[in-house]
This record gives sequence, structure tokens and C-alpha cells, in this order.
Amino acid sequence: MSQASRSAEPAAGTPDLVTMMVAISERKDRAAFSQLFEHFAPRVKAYLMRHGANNETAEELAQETLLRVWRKAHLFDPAVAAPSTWIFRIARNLRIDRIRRERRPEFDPEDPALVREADPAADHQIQTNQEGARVRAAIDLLPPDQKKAIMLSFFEDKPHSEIADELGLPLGTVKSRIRLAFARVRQTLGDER
Amino acid sequence: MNARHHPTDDLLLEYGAGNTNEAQSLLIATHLAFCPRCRGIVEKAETLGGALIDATPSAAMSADALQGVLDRLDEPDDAIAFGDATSAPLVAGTDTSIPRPLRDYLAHGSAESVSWRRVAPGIHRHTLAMNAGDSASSAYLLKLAPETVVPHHGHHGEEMTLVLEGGFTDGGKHFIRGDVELADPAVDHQPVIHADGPCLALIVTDAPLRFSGLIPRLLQPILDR
Repeated sequence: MSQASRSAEPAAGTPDLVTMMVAISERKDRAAFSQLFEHFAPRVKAYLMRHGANNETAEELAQETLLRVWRKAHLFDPAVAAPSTWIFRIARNLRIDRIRRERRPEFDPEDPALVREADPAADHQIQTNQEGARVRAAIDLLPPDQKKAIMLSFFEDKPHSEIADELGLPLGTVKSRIRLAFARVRQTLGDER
Repeated sequence: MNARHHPTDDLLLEYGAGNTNEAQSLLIATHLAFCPRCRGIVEKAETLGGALIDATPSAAMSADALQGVLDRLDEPDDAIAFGDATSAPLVAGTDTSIPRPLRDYLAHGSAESVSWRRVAPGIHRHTLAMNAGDSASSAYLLKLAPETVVPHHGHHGEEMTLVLEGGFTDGGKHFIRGDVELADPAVDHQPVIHADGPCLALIVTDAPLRFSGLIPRLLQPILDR
């Protein structure tokens, strides 16, 4: 990835989510938070409804997600993750906690037991707003059957075998479509494999 | 040294999407602490998740939703959700050689202080309690003496083993700290513990083990408990 693409301005009309997040993170900027809320809360609500939450629960958990974004904003680092990646993690974990009522084990970046990458620069792929846009573009270019399979994998709390039943396809076909879609995204994000 | 045997990319994607069950997530998260390669793959899955949320048709929020949240911004934050990377202070006796996600499931943060039950010569077992009474899968630790030959067994479902200490050889492959062995129903396997020390491993199964010999079959009720 070149420096030039990393520092490029966001496309006209695209809300600059990184700028909003940084304003919230550094200055507790309520106006920026309001903008971020207007952008993400309805999307997070839709995500939760796809996972089986009713209107009321999805509304409440979407508000809770954005409240956590505000409270954890000091941990946001634009060099490490795009705002959408960060908010996805919060929404996903809240869904597992409140809808599925399970714990969500995660590794702790501060853990003394953590094995770090020998080359620290490689431990984190730099992910910016532009990379989020590139992944969205890559998704748009996927063949419709791959796009549908990957959407179902992220938006319905179902194992691949149930997705296969739902689409009336053999499990192997569904798995390979999901694999191909993910491979394309990894390529977009500069995966060398 | 970095791990050489990993969970499948399919499973890492499912973990990133939030579709794995608690026991599977525990094993994968513990492996991630050992493995920068797999952390990178999960991060890409999460970037994909973020992009999908961003691209998804939205569901309208109620008219007063934003104001309701703005009014709550100054409330004190007393709830620390499980899974937050907020490091809790380490209690005395904590074994920091065991990565955090697993440590959180052990009383006093150490594999030494939990209750071990002998299930066969050279094999001790400690079952981990999952929050959800998830009967479809289970997670347990095994402590195995050097040179123990684990009874020949196949599986009804899938089994994953993560090595935490020591190592074993199975089917000509060596598994050491941080490595994950995946066994599926088609594989009849017989791990042999390395001679240089005891082996501590985390095992997650989505169905009970099935042993093939007569003596091992007598062990079955004990291992299933």
C-alpha cells in the first residue's frame, strides 16, 4: 500500500468517519458523535434485527453500542482499525452477550503471554477509512452468489450447514463461495498469501 | 516460536463473524494470543464485517433515540463487559504463561489451582464451565504425563486440541505450545506425549469421544462426564 493512497481524501459525499471518531476520541466532541450516531445506529440496528432481535431490543442495543463507542473512544486508534471495523466488533460482542447470552472470549493485546510478531510493523495491517471503502468496492464486485453467501454468514447467526439448507445448496458449494469471497477481501487488504 | 498448526481459515472467519460457540471461541482466542498470523486473518474478517454493516440497508431509529443517548453520555461507566480488552489486575498465583482468555476461566488464574480428576493412567482432566449451558460442545483441560499414549479414538464430531505446555506427536506431526490439532470424524488418531515433560492441552469437542478398543470403551463414561 502506498503512502499516497493512505493519505487520500475521502470521496466527496462520503462522511469522513475517521475524522468524526478522532474528534470524539480526542475532544469528546458531541457534534461529531451525533453525526456518527446518525450514520451507524440505524445500520447496527439492522444488523441486530437480522440476528433475530425484535424492533425494541435492536433499538436498545444499537443505542448501547453507540454509547460504548463514546465511552471507549479513547482506545480508538485510526492507524490500527477503521471506525466500521471497530464498531462492528462492539456490536458483534454485544449481540453475543445479550441475544445469545454467551461469553465472547477475545485475546488481550496487553497480555504478558501474547506472542508478538517478530516484525512489529507486520503485526498490524494499517486500516483506514479508505480501506473500508476499498473493501466495500470489492464486495460490490463479487459475483451475486458469493455476495449472498458472505452476507448470510455475517448477518444471520447460523452455521454454514444451515445457510446451505436455506439456499438449497450442498454445504461444499456454500463453503467454497464464502471462501472465495473472503479470499477476494483478503487480497484487497494486501494479504500476501 | 510461532505456532505452525492453525485452525482452518473457515473457522477463523466464523470466529470473526461471531458465529462460533463459546467453547470454540475460547480455543481460537487462546490460539490467537500465540499466533500473529491468525490475528491478521481475524482482523480482516472483522474489517469485512465492518464494511458489510456500512453497506447494509439501515433500519430507522426512533425519533428520540439520539437525544436519549446524548443524555446518557455523562453517566458513569460502571459496566465492564466481558471480552473487553481492559486488563484486570493479576491476582497472586496467576500463571501468566496461560493466555488471558483461558486464564479467565480458571479459578485463581492458574492451571495448578483447579481441581483435577484422574481419568486414566497418566491422564488428568478438568472440565471448564461454559456460561451458556451449551450441550452441543464442551471444553476441558487435559494434563498428560510424559510418554503417555492416549487411547486410540475416533470422534462423532469435530475435536480441536490446543497445546499450552509440552507437546505430542500424532500421525507423524509434532504439536507444541500454541499449535492446534484438528481431528474430524474420519480420523482415527492416537497422540503420544513427548518424553521431555508433561503436556497441558485445551480440548474442545462438539460431540463425545468414541473409543475403539475394549479397555478404552470402559473409560468412555468417565471421559464423557
